Amino acid sequence: MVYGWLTRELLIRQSTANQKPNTRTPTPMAIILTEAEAKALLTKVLSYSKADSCEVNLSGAERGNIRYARNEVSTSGALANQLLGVQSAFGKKVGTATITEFDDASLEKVVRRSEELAQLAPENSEYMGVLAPQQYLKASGFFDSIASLTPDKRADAVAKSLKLTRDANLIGAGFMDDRNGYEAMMNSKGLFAYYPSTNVNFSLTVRTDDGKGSGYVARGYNDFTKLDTAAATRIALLKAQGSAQARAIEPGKYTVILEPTAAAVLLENIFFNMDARSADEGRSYFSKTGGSPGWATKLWMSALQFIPTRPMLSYPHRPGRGMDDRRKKRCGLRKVWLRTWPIRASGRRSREKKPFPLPTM
Amino acid sequence: MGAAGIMMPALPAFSRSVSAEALLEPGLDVAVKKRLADAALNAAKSMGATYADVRIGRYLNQFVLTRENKVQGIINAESFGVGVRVIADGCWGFASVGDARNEAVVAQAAKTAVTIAKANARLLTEPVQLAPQKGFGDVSWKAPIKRNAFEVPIKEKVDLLLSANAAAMQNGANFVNNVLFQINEQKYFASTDGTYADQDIHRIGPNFTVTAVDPQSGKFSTRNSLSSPMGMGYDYLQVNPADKVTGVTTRYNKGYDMLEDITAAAKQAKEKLTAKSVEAGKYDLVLDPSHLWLTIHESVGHPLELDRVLGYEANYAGTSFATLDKWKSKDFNYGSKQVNLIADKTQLYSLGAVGWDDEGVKTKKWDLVRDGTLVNYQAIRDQVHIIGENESQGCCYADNWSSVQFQRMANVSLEAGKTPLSVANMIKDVKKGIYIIGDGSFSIDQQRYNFQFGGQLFYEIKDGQIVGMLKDVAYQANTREFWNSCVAVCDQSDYRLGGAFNDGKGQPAQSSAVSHGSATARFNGVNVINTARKI
Repeated sequence: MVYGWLTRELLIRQSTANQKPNTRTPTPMAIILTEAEAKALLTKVLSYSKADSCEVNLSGAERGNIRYARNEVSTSGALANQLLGVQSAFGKKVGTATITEFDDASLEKVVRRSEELAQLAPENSEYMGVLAPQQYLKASGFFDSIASLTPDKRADAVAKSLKLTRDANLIGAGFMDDRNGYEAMMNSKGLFAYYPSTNVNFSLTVRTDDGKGSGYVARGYNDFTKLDTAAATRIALLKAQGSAQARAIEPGKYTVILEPTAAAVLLENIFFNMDARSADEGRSYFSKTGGSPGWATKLWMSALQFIPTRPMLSYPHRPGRGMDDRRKKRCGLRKVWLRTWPIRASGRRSREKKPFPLPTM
Repeated sequence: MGAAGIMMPALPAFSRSVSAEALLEPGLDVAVKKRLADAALNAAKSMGATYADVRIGRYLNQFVLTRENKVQGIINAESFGVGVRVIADGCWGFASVGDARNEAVVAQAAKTAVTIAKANARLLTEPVQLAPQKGFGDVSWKAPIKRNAFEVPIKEKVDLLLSANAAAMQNGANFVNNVLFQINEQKYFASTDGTYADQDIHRIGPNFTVTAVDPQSGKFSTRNSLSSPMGMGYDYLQVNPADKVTGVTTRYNKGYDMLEDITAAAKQAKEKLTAKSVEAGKYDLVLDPSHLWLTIHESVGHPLELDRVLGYEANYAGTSFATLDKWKSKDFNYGSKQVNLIADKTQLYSLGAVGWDDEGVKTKKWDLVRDGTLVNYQAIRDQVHIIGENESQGCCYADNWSSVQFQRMANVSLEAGKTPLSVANMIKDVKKGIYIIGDGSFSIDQQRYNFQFGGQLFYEIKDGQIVGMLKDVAYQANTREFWNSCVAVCDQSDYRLGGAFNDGKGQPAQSSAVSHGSATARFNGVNVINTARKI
């Protein structure tokens, strides 16, 4: 792997001068594979499998970031990576191995390694097998505006934000991180999925010089042309200026209105504790005897209605698991919140016969 | 592993799974690493960099995860690559290369870093000011391990964890999650200052959560292990009576008895189900080191990081109430006269100990709070000029070859009391108090000022005697009033380390491991709330 914005394509070379010489054949390999390239590679990997079932996941991404604070750029970097993971199963004995090298010998080796691990593993009673081919909703989360980003373009976007904070005599600290990548999967039941995507996230905290006023803004898009760092910065500026004279309040009961960003962060924290296994085992707030499903249902249903970025960040299928997108149907039903818990636990629930994907919040 | 389970340390970026045997293979020879490093440094200089450093890192991890009578997973992972940081046109730039074993690829990363630095230089109004640092030549450092954890057969580790789980189930637990983390960072640093530092860092972290459930009431309680992650090898799991601190429950120093602790944990988790719920109010708190480390971490370690003070973490980890004006005043009472807080990157067996930091500074020990007064911060080479220093304190760190290094917390600890004082004698003088053991959930604001801390075990103290277990306890305070309420610290014989495997900071987020030591300490008149109260 080579980590650098300059290198969209690379050759994995091994030096003969190394003390640990690598005898593998140098393999030309792009970080971002096309659908056809990914399919060919995954087909090759699956051809090595001798397990009862096998699932192969492949991903590649190029990332760039720029960070600033005290109205100055601080650190920045760029990287790219790719990874191939193989999960082999013999009955309910499952083994997973990953690799970052893609020559034929390495590909076969990672399959053998996952099979060895599966044979050594104890039976996993919760293993649900690999999925059959799925029908996916159509969506596109890939935009060339991000795939073609350079350090200069990142610097331009941050410069617009810095100018506003400097002109207002306020202090900005922000971060912009972009990703261009894809995920693909194939399994022994014939399921193949490929999804290229791009995204950029920008967040900024603006403070007054005395630290009494502070404003935060966060934005995320698939398309860089949608990111207006100046407009976002103006919101943070207004919050910082408006909160400088805020008065302290006494603890008590208040009606609280959360902006979308605040609500989403709150929901993220709740979501990751909605673990079906813990609830089944009686050691969760959401356990039937000790919990309050009515509260959770209400919150869940409400949460679905104020996610402005959801259409743009839609994630039509999850190649990592290859499930189709039934979120809308399931989350649209009342009192189904228990069924929208993480996939990892759903298989052990007697009333849940089929896996379903992670919900988007 | 459920919500009541244990947070697993993140694997280093871009890890690949390997066999357990591969974890014992030697990495690149030092001569090869030096050749790669020189290739990067020369490439950076040829592109106009005025400073460059290179980190060649091999990061090895083994996680053994179990619950009840099952092995949930055994993860062996390796991550290898090179990170190059430069200053060009007065601005930082960084790029990294995975699986890089030849000079050309490493040099290309250096050139990329310079290109990024030059692109961003127009966003600076002042160039980076890097404190001078002499070169140390070829040097090395190795963690003081007696038994490399990776050399211990996996079966031995699995047998230990499953035996412990069985002991928990036999003693009343309904569930148990039990994990063992082992980490080895093989890190080679080189810079244009002339330092070539080869370092071998080891950490180990056994950790369990035992859960007891009362199906009738729908209540459940947990008790986490009283172990600590340590900068040690498998020797931490060798039982040694001298490393045990007995009392209301046994605690551990440089040797951890998992079977003993988990047996007690199962009994205590059940006992907690029916323990008395605390009555909110003011109490004198007696805080065991297994608990106090976390309060030190959050209310001292973080606010005295200079990058937070200056606002570099304002958009993510937070800022600090301990602003420069307070330090400049030279009389800011961070705590009482009994409070002496030190930063130390050299402390034996600690998680943060190394010989040289990630920008080539020889590590050291320094005061943060002396006799209660704020006297210093934690700072690195591009910050120290702001506090009038010309030498870094050596606390720069990156969690992976692919991450850019920046200021991270040193081991920050409370010095033990100078006069002899045992825990028993400390408790003897408490009229109305609570003795807290083990760390629990907590909350603290982004300036690290207003906070709330729970724990694992709570014992009510009345008229100098422990009278029984409490539950639903958390204390609330602000940092300054809390440390000013410290009236006594036990002596060195009670001093122990606690620590965090995954301290998060930075964008992109990085984690670091850090220890915090103390002896048992007493804090008077602290506000205690009942966490089960209905609002």
